Amino acid sequence: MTTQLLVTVIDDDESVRESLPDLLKELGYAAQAFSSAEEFLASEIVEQTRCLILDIAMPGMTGPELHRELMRRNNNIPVIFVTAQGDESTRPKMLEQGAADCLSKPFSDAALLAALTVAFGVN
Amino acid sequence: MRYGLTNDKSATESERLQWRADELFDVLSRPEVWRVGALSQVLSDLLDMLLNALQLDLLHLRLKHPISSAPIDIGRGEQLQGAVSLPRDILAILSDSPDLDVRKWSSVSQIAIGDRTVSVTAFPIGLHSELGVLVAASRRPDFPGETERLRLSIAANQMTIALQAARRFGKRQRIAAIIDRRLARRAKELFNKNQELEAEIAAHKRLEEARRIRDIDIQMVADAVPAPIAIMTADGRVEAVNRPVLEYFGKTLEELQRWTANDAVHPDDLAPSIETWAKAVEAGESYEIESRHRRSDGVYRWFHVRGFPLRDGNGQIVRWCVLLIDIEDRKRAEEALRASERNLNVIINTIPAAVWSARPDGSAEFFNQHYLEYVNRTSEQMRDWGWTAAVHPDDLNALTRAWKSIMASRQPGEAEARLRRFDGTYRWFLFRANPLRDRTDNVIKWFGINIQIEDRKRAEEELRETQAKLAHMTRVMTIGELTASIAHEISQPLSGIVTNSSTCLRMLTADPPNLAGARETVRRTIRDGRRASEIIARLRALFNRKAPVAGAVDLHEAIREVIALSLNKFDRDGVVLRTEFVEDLPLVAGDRVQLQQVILNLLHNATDAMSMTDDRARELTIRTERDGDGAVRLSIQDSGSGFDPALVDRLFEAFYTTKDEGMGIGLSVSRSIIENHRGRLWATLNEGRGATFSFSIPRVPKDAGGARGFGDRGASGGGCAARTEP
Repeated sequence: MTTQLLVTVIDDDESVRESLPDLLKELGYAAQAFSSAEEFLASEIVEQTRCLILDIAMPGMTGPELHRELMRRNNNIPVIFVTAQGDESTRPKMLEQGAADCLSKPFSDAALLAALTVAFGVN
Repeated sequence: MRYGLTNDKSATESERLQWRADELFDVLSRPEVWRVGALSQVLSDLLDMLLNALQLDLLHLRLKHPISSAPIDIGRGEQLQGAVSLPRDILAILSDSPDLDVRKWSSVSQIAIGDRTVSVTAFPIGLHSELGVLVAASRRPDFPGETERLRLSIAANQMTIALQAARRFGKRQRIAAIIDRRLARRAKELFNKNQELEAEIAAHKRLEEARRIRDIDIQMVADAVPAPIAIMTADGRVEAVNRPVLEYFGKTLEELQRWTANDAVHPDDLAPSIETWAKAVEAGESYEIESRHRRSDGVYRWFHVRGFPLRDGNGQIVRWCVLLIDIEDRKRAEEALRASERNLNVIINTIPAAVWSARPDGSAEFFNQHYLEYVNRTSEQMRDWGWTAAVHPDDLNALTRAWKSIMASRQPGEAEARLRRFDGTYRWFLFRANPLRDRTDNVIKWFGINIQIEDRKRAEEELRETQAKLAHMTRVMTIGELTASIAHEISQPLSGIVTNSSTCLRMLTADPPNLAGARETVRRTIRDGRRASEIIARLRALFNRKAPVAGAVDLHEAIREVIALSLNKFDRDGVVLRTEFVEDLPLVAGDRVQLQQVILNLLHNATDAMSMTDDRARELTIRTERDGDGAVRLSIQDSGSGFDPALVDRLFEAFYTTKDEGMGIGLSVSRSIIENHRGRLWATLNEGRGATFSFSIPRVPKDAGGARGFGDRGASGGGCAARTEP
């Protein structure tokens, strides 16, 4: 049996934490969800995570901050940012920062799939 | 007098005769005899007597009347025995020589009368017969004897004497009569002349007196008047001048008399002066002219010259009096006044505003050029109450009322109304009036200026619109600020819906279908959908640009809703929220949505103020309390960075912001909303750290059934409420 790749979702919103992991599972991935970056970092699955789906704006450590922190730790986990706000300048900025993709909520499953492909494709 | 004749021939007879003759002679010498009639009779009697006494045949007397010198011929006995008339020779002799020269006679002559021969002798009366001659004749040859000759001589002498005396007397009488007559005439003449003379003298005296008095008056007055006076004769020559003239001109009288030819009068004024003076003197009418006269130092000064005639009692001009009044200063003042008036006129007509003046009763008097051109009317059309025709009919009543009330107040005031422009369009104007008062504080005139405020009014209109838009925009901007949380909020459930739906589909198409899972996703979808709807409903309420709705607002409820909207932000920003709500907070009158806007704005500001606060807790306290008896106060206190107290007023200015991404209109709009609610919004620094923003608004009155309506600031938007200043 192939080990499913772990995709970790970090979002302070409950609906996202509820719904996204299920979709990811349907897409064939393993999924975990945390409500904050700090929680994730404090957890044991940092190393196991093969891809992060990060909300940009979160109280405390934001998504980009977590990304920078991980890179500082030389943990180059591919990151897909998702955001409920922001304008057309957000995505380029995130990509520049090294994200695999940046999606605006609400996003379709097709969009998610494409982003995941990029993220794992990079690898 | 008739003397009787006697025929006695005695010596006594002779004596008697003599005595009678003497008597007769005496009679002759009486003046009353010498009327011709009486004289003839007396002489006849005498001759008769002599004829008889001497027995003469003829006795003829020829006399010249002693007074009239008329010839008198008296004869007796001439009818000699039948001879009808005097012998021719005697007659001839008598008639030949007018002066009866007796030398022609010999003492005795023999004359034949008829057939007789008579002796005739003549006796002169008067020394040379100048008075007459007595001729006696007798037939007796020895005639005249000595005695007869003697008697006749004596008779002739007596007659002479008597005649001479008579003549003298008569002459005297005549002369006396003449003298008397002459005297009388002369006396009458003299008397008349005297009367005339007296009258003349009296008249002359009066004239003299009058003249004297006049002369005195003129002289006294002339010298006393501190103005130059000249006296001219009736034909216009300068006769005398008073002291001021001499002092002013510095010329002698002689020089002044040559005024028509020297420099006493300014060369430019000389010709007209001469002409005026000459005409007046000729016409005998008073005259006046303004001319310049040379002062002793060479300076010419303006004078008002007035000449008028002085007449005597008969209306004849006897003198001319010329007054010279120095008007140099007046003329200068007049010129200055004219210049300043010209200047003023230019100013008044150049002021780019409509300037007018009115009488105390409100009727208009003056309009400057700008005004008249603007309304395209003439001064006559606008005067008094004509200007009302240029005012917009809808505004006229209010304006008139305003004007009347301003006049009654006697204070400066203003009002607004539309005036019709030259092209027929109406424009808003501000009518401003100021009273001009006299010393007793009565208003004697109103001065006014009408300023076009069409632009201002439009601007006000636009401002109101803009404010509304801005308020709307602020809401929008505030919403923009809320994008993080609201968009967040909506996109979350949406995101959930989409994700869950995708999951559901996959679960249903899996083999075998994961129905339980699918059911779960659907359930979440419905829930998320509901969540999204709620958010949208709330957003709609905020987005909705409704007109302010007046109502009774429960502040606590309103605050809670706003907090609900902001929870995300508070979470994200790490803000700790505390509420201190007073019990039984009275309802406030106002628009719920607008008030929530303000609260929202304040909350966000407070949160942002604390965004840099790391050394302590970010505490946000919302407090409500009663403010006095009629108002309610809400305070939002933060523990942020506070503000520069010197800039406290600027905080509420439009476009003032300390945030990079802020528009800076939140606080200014908030303030205007609160002020619309008849409240106030202010900021204070806390004792510790941070600031507190508070607003206080009136509560709903205890006795009111509900909130009263309120609108814009209560100011007189279009229309003409009179506003007077204290």
